Amino acid sequence: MRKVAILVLILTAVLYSAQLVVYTYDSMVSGLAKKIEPLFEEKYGIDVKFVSFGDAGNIISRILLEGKKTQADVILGLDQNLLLKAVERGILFPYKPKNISRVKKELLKKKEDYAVPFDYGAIAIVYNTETIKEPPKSFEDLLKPQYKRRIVVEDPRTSSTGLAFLLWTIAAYGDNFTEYWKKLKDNLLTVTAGWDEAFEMLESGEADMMVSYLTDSAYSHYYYDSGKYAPAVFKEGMFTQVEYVGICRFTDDLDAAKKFVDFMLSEEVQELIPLNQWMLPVVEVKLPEVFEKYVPKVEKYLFLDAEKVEKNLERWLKDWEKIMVGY
Amino acid sequence: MGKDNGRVLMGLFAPLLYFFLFLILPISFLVAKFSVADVFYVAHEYKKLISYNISQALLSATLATSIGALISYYLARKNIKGILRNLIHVMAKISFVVPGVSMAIGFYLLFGRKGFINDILGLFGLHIDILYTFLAVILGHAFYNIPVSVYIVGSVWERFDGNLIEASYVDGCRDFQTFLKVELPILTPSIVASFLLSFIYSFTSFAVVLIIGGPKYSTLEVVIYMYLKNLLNFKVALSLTFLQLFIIATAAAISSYLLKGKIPFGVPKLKKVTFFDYIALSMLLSLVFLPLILSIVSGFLTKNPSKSVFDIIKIGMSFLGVSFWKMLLTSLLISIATAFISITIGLITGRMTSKGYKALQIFPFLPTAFSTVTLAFGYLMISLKFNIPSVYLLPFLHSLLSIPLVHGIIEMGWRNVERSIEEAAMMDGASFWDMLFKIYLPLLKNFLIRAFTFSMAISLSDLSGVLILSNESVFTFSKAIYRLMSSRHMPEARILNTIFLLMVMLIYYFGEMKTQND
Repeated sequence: MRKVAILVLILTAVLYSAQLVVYTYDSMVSGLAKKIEPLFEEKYGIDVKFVSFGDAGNIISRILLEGKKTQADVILGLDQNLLLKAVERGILFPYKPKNISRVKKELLKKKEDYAVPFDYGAIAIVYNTETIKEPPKSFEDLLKPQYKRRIVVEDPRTSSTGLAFLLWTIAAYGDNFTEYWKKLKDNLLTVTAGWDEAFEMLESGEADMMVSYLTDSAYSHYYYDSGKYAPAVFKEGMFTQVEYVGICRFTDDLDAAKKFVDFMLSEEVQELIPLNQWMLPVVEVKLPEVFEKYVPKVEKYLFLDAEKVEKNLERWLKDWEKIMVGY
Repeated sequence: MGKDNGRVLMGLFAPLLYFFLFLILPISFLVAKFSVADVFYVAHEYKKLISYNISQALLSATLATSIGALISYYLARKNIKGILRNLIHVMAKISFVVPGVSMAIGFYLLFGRKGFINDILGLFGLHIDILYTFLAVILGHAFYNIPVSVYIVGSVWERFDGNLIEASYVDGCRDFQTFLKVELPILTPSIVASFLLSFIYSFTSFAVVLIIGGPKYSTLEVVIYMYLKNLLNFKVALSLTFLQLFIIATAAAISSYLLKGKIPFGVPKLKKVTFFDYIALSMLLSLVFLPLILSIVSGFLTKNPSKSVFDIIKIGMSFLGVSFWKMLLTSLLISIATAFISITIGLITGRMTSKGYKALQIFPFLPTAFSTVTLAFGYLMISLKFNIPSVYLLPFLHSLLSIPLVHGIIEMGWRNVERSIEEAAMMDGASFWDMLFKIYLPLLKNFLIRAFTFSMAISLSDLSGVLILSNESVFTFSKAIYRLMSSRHMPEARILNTIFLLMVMLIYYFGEMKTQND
């Protein structure tokens, strides 16, 4: 009888104990989430579950469709463009964590009333060091005849990396970005639907350069002990993708959600960012050796005002379509 | 008579209910803000793209159907021996499950600037650029759609009654005249059906067209994706979807008008295979299947020789936090459930349309108009509205994706059933269930096995539906490969992909052996 009572107690405790649900993107679940889940549970005694539905764009669609019924307490992994959409559609609960002052100043924008950055990284043109001996140093260099039909970029209509590259050219050239793309078009080998297809082209030797990330070189040294691919740093400045964590407006456990947001800025999580997310931490922590050695230092970062992006994105994509597709 | 009418009503009602519950209802949850004015707006905005899209799909379908018909000819009229015959069938099916990325690897290794063809041409100082051209798009679509043609045209032609051909020879006709006057008229419905499906698949192509053609050749699907995922504009995405629906429904209606006639099945008349035949067949097959073989082999060309294939799989699975066997079981369970649902519906729709109920002909083609992402979001709404765990809806979603093909294959089978056999059974007092289990299913067996394996293949290869509707504990092969790739675990992803393709190939091979022996 005592055993039954204990079992009932345990079951009740399990059923009624708080479970924090975090909506995120796919690769987060098998990577960083696995590391931070036990840390958070141990620190706060709150069970946490990470749920994903593909890429980050699906998180917003999902919550919009689920409405008040959503299980989401926390949203993890929206970039600056998606964050604005989430704010506009009213799915975020405003919250400013106590430890926000530790975040690097240049990453803080006014939308941080709704969500806080937890990592960031730059996109870059990554090249094959065996075939490209003189890497490009600027956008103008990319137009040189020596790179003709050797560059592959991702489609901004279907790929977040592709969209970031388009925004990078807009950050660099402003409204004249169309002129730049008209010239770049001739040097491109092709445009792929996603990052993985472009990477396969680089791997199979079909292309020599692609749009990828500044940390790629550190990654290939760390996992494959190879320095075959390296990122090029552009003098116009590098374009940053910032990833945010925020509280879902429909959460039924606001306290636990707040704790999770605070936790994401803690040193113990931030130290895990480089080797799990292959992004940079938003607070000052010691970087792993591969980062110190193989991630090039960036002098200048370019940012694009998220509100400007929201207002113009459809037009910019149509302009891109006109140049690249011809309609 | 009353019973007959009841069965006809049931035959019409059951598929209509299925399409209502699993296609129209989920979509209706998404169309609350949809207006006709939007359709006209986007039709005007994208008119150039739409007209290009139609001509591209027409050309792709023409090439795929022509090559498919040629391969079908070899299967039907030449005495190709067991293993080679089985391999052709198996390889044709495999191309259906090749994920876009694997297919890209195959194409680069074959047609790329450092590919197989250019390596050979290089020996003679020559070089050819096929990728990123219109020709590449057409070839890519042919790669995917030749199986459709081989299966729909091939399954009829392979069992064409040799006595009719013999009779034509006796009447003085030569081979070509016999083909034109005896075989072609009877094969026309299956050729039209396969052309139509190839047209629809090429029209709604997504990754293939970008990978090997580039943005110049992108389809309406890419624009729908942009509005759905990047701009979160469901309104325009659905307007474009309805435009697609209109074009596809028109194509299906034309096909329903053309499809008619009964197929005289019997013992085929096979000719001796000549050396020239082997050369021609190898060329046709290599054009289609070399990218596939190269893609399969590439999985084993691992960049890290210090680790065995098993170690790499272990690393991948431990990263994902799921056991290999659980993933295998989940993939098989979902795909088998899918095959049962689509075969049940295909049996009914195939029976009804082969009996002349043309109104039903359009329905099996309707799902092709909707992108999987759109359908999956609709299913998600159903799951939320009725508190159904969304993963249980996956087989229904996958059944919609496979129904056009399954219907096409089973309908051909129904045309095989002789009216005289049915009448004799009815005169002997056989009940409906007696006829189903003792006459129809045995006669349709080969078609059902083929439809079953195709349906499984389509389910196994789906990614976007699985991502949206499955939860964390549910892993299929495609989801595992995607997650490994998006986390930059390329060697693990490639090996898993190769194992996946080999496994499917094995399943098909046993299926083919079974039908061959029968």
